[in-house]
Amino acid sequence: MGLALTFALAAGYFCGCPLPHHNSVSETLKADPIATKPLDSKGEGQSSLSEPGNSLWCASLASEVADVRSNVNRSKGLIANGIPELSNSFDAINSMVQDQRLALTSLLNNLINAKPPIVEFSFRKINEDVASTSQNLSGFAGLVIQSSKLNMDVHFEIEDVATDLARINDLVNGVEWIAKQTHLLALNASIEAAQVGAAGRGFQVVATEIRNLAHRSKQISESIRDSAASANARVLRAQAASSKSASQDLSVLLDSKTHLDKVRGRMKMLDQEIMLLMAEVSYISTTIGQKTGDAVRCLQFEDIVRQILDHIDADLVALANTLQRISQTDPSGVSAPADLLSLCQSILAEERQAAPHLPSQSELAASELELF
Amino acid sequence: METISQTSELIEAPQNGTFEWRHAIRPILRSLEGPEANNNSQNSRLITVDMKQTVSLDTAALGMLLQLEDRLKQDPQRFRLINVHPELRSLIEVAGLAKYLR
Repeated sequence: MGLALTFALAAGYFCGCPLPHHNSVSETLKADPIATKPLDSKGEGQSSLSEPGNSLWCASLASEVADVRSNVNRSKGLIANGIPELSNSFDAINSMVQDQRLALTSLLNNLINAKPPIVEFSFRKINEDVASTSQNLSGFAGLVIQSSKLNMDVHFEIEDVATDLARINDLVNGVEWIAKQTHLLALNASIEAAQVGAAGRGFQVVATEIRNLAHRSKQISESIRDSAASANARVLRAQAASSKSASQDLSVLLDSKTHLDKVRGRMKMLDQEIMLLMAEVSYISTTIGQKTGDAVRCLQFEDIVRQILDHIDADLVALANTLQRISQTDPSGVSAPADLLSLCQSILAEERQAAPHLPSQSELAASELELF
Repeated sequence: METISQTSELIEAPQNGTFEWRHAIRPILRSLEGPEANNNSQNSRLITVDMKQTVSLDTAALGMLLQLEDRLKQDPQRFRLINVHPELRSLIEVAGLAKYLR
């Protein structure tokens, strides 16, 4: 309620209404229907300023003013105590957020702008290493398979050698049979030569030589058979070795390759995810800094609120002084409500001259802080 | 299942392709070796290996497939691998036989 309106109502009471003695002004205004009755220009029902009730009414108003002033001062005290602490907290938060943002920015710069970039280098290097290892495994598996192919070639050649050795063995058996038959023939020839007597002596010598040759042939055949048997044994061992060498299970190797390929895929995803998260954290940090800055800026309006409260206090002082002076005014010159209202306004204007200028700013604009 | 033309030969690979497969493969390899391997009838041969039942291949079996590939002049028109299980495809690719997959 403005002071001018207050005085208009007060003039109505002075000039036409019974004044309250015990209740507060506000309670009286609520309870008494006559209090809201419009004032008439003739001043019917008016009472004199010198009446004792009017002095009481002024005292009651002065008491109300004192209560309001007390509350205003308590509000000022609370604001004066709370706002600086809140401001300090926001300043600290702002400072920490700035530090955090700087640390993150520095980290990002170090990771990304380093020559070579650490993050990209690390992930790229690991990715390259994994890809290279995977490729090497693949190449190694290919080499093993090619080696197996060659081993199978060797194995088939050895099998052919074994077949040839078996044929040699058959041939040696044939040679031995011939030697045996030759030996029998020579033996029969010797018997026939002995039956002929001296005439067969030369034939006897030939038969003996043939028998010797058959024996020698048999010995050579046996040597060949032994050598062939030995070669066959070696061929069998070579076959076993080549079969073992040719036959390898590559599933473990290929499983490793598959695993490496998966690791590579995950590394790529992780790389992207980390970069996104870092950018998000940086954005959040920046936003928190901005919001904290906004909050700190808002707290600067504590000055305005304090000055408004000072002004209200000054108004209340002016009101109290006005009431004081009205109660001491000679009532002879005040006969109508209009006179009383004019007197109130005149005194109030005088009291207000010393009052401070009220700041006009009513909204918290971010960049328009009106200082006074 | 792929339809095989009358001039082609179908080899059914065993369930486990191992060294023992050589007994079946060797005669075919032999038939593709020597002077007669270059005559026209040999050059028109198409050999298809059906791997419908095969669940594993060791390097010996892969080596024999590579020998078949060599004997058939590395020609996809003459050598084919059909019904290969997905698990064996990477093995076939590593062996360099992917171009024969059908």
